Amino acid sequence: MNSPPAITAVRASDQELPEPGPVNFETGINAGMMSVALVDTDVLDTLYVRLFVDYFVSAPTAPRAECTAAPTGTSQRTATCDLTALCTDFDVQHPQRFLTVQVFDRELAESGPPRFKLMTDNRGMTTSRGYLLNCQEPS
Amino acid sequence: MRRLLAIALLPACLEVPELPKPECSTNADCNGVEVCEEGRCWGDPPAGEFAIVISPPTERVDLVSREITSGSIRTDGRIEGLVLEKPVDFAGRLTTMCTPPLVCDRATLRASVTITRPSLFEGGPGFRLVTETMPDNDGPKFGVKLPPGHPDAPYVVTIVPIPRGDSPATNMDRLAEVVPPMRFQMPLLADTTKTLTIGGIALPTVEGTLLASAGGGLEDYRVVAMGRWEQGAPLTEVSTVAYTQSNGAFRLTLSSDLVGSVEIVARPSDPNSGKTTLHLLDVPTAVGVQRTLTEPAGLGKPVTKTITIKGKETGGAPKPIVGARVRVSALIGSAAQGTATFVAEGTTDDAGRVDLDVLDGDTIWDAYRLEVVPPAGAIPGAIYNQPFAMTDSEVQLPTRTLITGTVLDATGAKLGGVTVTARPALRFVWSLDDKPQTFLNSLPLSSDVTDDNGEFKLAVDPVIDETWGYYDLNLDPARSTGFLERVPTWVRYGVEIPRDANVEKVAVSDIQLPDAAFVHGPVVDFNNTPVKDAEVKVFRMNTNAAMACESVRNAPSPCPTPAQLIGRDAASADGIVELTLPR
Repeated sequence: MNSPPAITAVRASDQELPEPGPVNFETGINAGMMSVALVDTDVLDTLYVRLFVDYFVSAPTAPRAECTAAPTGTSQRTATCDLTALCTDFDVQHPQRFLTVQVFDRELAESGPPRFKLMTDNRGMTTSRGYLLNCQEPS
Repeated sequence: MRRLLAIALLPACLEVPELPKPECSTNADCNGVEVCEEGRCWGDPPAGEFAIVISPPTERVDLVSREITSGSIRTDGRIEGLVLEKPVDFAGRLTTMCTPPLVCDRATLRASVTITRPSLFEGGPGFRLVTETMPDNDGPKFGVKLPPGHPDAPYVVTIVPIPRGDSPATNMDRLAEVVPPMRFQMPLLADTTKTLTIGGIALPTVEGTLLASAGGGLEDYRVVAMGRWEQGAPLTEVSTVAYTQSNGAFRLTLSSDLVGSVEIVARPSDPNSGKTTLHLLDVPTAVGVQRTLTEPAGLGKPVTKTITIKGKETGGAPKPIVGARVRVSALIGSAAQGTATFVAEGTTDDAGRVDLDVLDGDTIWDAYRLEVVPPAGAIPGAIYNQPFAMTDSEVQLPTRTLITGTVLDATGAKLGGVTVTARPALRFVWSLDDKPQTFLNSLPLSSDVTDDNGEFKLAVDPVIDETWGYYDLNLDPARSTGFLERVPTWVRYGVEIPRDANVEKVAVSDIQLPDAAFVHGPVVDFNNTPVKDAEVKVFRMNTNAAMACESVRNAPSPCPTPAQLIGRDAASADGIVELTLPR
C-alpha cells in the first residue's frame, strides 16, 4: 500500500512560509531558492515537487519550478527548488496570484487530466500547500 | 561517498532503513584533523570565510532572521555564534496630506509597507519584509520586528497606498487614487516609533487625456506613472493610480525624490478587453505636466486565432507540445509620439493548441511577434521575439541542446540520486538586453536526477536573442533529515554551449564532487534558549560570478553576484544544526 507524502515545512531565503501567506517573491535571479521539507514513509519513493501559479482544472498551467527529492533511505527529506522562473512580469502587474506547492510520489505524465498533475501510476498520491502570492520587481 | 540505500524489504512492502554504520570510534579513525563524536568525524572544514544566515521557524514570531557576515567554524567542526538576536521594534502610523481641493480621510487609508535592507555580505539574500497597515482611529498603523539596524546599511521603507487593482476600488477605499507611494531610509538601530506623512502639497503631477483613434475619450483604463527611486533601479509604480471614465481624463500625483523622467502607462482595466496598452515615455517630473495619449488607428476588432505548437523529441515527426506558454505581442508607434502594445497569451492544451484573442486591424496585423515557453526539460525549445505571420496556424519549436554527464563522489564512485539543475550562467544572462534577460529568467529550469550510474541529461536552450548560452550546473545530492552524508552541494560553472546550430548534445567531463566536512553548532535565541527548526544556511563568495561583472556588457551596476549556498539544514529538536560543507 502506498503512503501519501507530506510537506512539513516550506522555507524561502530568509523565513519559513506559513499558509496561507501572503508570500512575496521577486522576479528574476534574486528570487532565491525554496526548500521543501518532506516526509514519506515509503522510503524508496522519489518525491517530485512542482510549483504552480494560478493552476485551475479548467485552465491548467504548467509548473513554474520543479525539484526532486531522491530516496535517501529515510522518511524525512528536503527538496530545493530554484525560484528564478516563479514570478513573471505579468504577475507583477496583476498581484494576488495563488501559489501551490505540490508533492507527488510518482512520476508525472506528459498529458492527460488533470494536466500537469496526472501521475503515471494511478496508485500515486499527492499533497499540497497553498499560498497567496505577490510578485514584485527586484528591489 | 553516497551511502547506499541499505533498505531491507521486510515482509511485503514494509520499508525499513538500516542504521548507518559509525564512521569512527576514536579520533584516530578520522583524517587527523577531524574529531570523532557520536560515531562521526567532525571538522576539518574548508578554508576561507563564510557568511551564515539563520532563519527562525514560523512559530517563533518573536524572532527574525540574522545575517552573520564572518562565520566562524572551528577546526573541530563546531560553529559558534548561531544566536538569533533580540529584534528591534519598528512601529509606524500614517497621516495623509493631500493637495487641495482633494480631501484625504486618513481613516480610510490602507497601505502596503515594504522594508528592505541589502545583504550585509556580498551577494547575500538581504532582508525583505512586507506587511500591511491596520486601521485605527488615529490613522492606519503597522508594527514589525526587524534585525537590529546597521549604521552602514540603512533600511529602505516603501509605503504604497492600496488597493491599486485593475478597476477602481469602492468609495471607502480610494485613497490610493489620491496619495502616491513614498520611500525613505532609516537606520533603525533601536526600537523606533514614527509618524509618517504620506502625500504632499507640492508633488509633481501629470494630467491628461486618453483619446480613442476615432475621437472621444478612452474609458475603463488604469493609468499610472512608472519611474525609478534610484539610478539603475527597475521601473516601478511611483504615482497615484487613475481610472478613466468616458472623457478619458486622468490626473496622477507622483512621488517625491524620483530619479529621471517617468513613463505613463495606461492599460485596459479588463485584461481580456481586446484593447491596447498605451505608453508615453520620458515624461518630466514637475508640477502641472500635461500629456495626451492617443490610441493608434486601424487596430481592428478582436478575433480568435488558434495556433498549434509542435516540436520534435529525439528524432521522429513533430508532435504537439502540451503546456507551452504562448504569447503573441505587438508594439506600434514611436517613443516620441507614444507607443501602444497588445499582448495575448495562453497555454497549449493536450493537442498542442492555444486560442488567442488578437486584433485584426491593418496597423497591427504585421507587427505581431511570438514567444513560446515550453515546459521545463522538454526537448523542443523556446522561441523569443520571433516575427509571426498571423496567417500561420502552426509553429514548430527549435530543438534544445542536451547536456549530459556523470556525477562521481569524492572517491570516484558513480553517484545516483543527485538532482542536477541547469541554470543560465550570469555571463549568459548579463550578455542579454533587459527584455531577453527577463524572458530567459522566465524559462522554468531543466533538472534531472542522476541514475545509479550517476548519469544525467538536461535539455537547455542554446541561444536566446542570438546570444549563445552558458549554463551552471547545480548539484544537490539527496538529503535526509537526521543523517549526514559525505556528499556536498556543488556547482559546475560555465558549461559552454557549442557555437554550432548542428550540435545537439554536449557531454561534460565527469563531475567529481569534493570531499565533505561535517560541521555542527547550537542555534539559540537571545535568551540562550535552543531554537528548534531554525534554518541555517552557509554561503561562500561566488568568485566565478564576480568575474562575470567585468566580462559581459549588461552586468548591473553595482554588480551584486549571488553568493554560493554551500550548505543548509534545519536545527533538531534540541536546537543543534548539522551541515555538510564541500572541502
